[in-house]
Amino acid sequence: MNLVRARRTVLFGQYVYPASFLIILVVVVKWPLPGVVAAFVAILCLWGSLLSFSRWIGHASDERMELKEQLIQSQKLLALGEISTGIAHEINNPLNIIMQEAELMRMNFQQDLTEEEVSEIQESLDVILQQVERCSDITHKLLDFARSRRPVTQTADMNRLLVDMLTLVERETDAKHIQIVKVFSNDLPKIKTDPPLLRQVFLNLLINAVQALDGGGLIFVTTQCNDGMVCAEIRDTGPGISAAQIERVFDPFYTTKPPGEGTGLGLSVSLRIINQLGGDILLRSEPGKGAVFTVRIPIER
Amino acid sequence: MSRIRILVVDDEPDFLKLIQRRLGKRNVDVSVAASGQEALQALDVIPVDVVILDVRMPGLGGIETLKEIRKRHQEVEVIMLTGHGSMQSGIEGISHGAYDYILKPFSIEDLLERIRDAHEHAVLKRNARKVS
Ligand SMILES: Nc1ncnc2c1ncn2[C@@H]1O[C@H](COP(=O)(O)OP(=O)(O)O)[C@@H](O)[C@H]1O
Ligand SMILES: [Mg+2]
Repeated sequence: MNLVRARRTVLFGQYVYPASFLIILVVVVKWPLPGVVAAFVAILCLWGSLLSFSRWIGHASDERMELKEQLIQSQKLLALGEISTGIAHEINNPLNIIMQEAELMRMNFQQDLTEEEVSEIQESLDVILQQVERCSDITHKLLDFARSRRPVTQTADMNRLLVDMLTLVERETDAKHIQIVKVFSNDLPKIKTDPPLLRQVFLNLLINAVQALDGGGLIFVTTQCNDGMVCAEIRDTGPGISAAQIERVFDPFYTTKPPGEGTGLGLSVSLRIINQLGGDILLRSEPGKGAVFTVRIPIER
Repeated sequence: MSRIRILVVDDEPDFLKLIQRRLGKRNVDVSVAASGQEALQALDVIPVDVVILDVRMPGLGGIETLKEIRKRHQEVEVIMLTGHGSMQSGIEGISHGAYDYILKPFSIEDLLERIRDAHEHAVLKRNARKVS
């Protein structure tokens, strides 16, 4: 509202001010005394309108700020909703299994136990233990996420870290007909970073790429160095990520994978680690054209 | 430089003996444990910088042992020993905070280099803690 008014004033002034100055000029030249008075009046008018004009602009920018804050707030709520749904979902699945098994056990205990029932109870107990383990894994990951370790930096060779992590996923890629193409810069400077944390990040990105390439494909792993940053790019020829999804893939617990395959923590944890190391992760992707994740780490830290 | 103190955990006694002999000559103090449980007990009584942990062990498995070590002894770094048949455990190990992994069979030089890096990391971590 205020913004519209302010814009109108500016448009109006664009023609009116030069015109009024011309008129005053003519008047001053013809009748000096009334001319001077007119000039003073004009100055006052100009000053007044500029004053209210700047006030309107001020209001307008306040309104804008408010809007922006509201937007951030609702996005935060959205993220929180996402996280809660994620946690609930992750914990509900094992809980459900535990409940079923417990009921089964109770039924089995109602009569005298035959040998068969004893072994069934044994099985139930095993399943319950497994599921409790799964739950505790989830809570551990959550805790890890909440209080991630402070990085401790030492000298490391990014090419070497990548090669090591590639070796770990190689078996999987061989089985799935995925080919890995390495394009490593051979004059990459050593970096001061936290190697085990960086290993985790590369592993997460590589596993995502492997999972995205279910029907086979290519993974390009490229390293290079530009302006003080060492970059590792992991590109796959998978289905890619839509623009709407790109906004959310770094949210904790955002996943499109079935339970057991993905927890939705890989990218959020990775981004957090890289931020702690003073770097960032860039994501470029289009549906059908694969995804490109670029990790950038400062050389000195 | 101070001697590096490591604990090697593997269920193969021959491997333990071999590694103890080879690393002993290289400025590394080697203790050994034959199982995950034994390793946890040992860590309670002897000071250790780096644990070399086989991922495949009967009883308390490698990953379980890693999780326990990370919970109880945060100043210790862990290097997982994986075979070609246990890559998945290597992946899990790294995700659960192992410092590094090494693939069997390995050269002693390679192992030594990784041990040195892990040791450096452990020392830096201890110092950072003292300061803060
Ligand atoms: N390389 C990729 N190609 C396509 N989609 C991806 C890729 N990497 C990540 N994603 C999407 O981002 C989501 C979140 O990834 P992540 O945080 O690693 O969790 P998770 O892998 O457990 O689902 C995935 O579920 C997937 O939808
Ligand atoms: Mg993932």
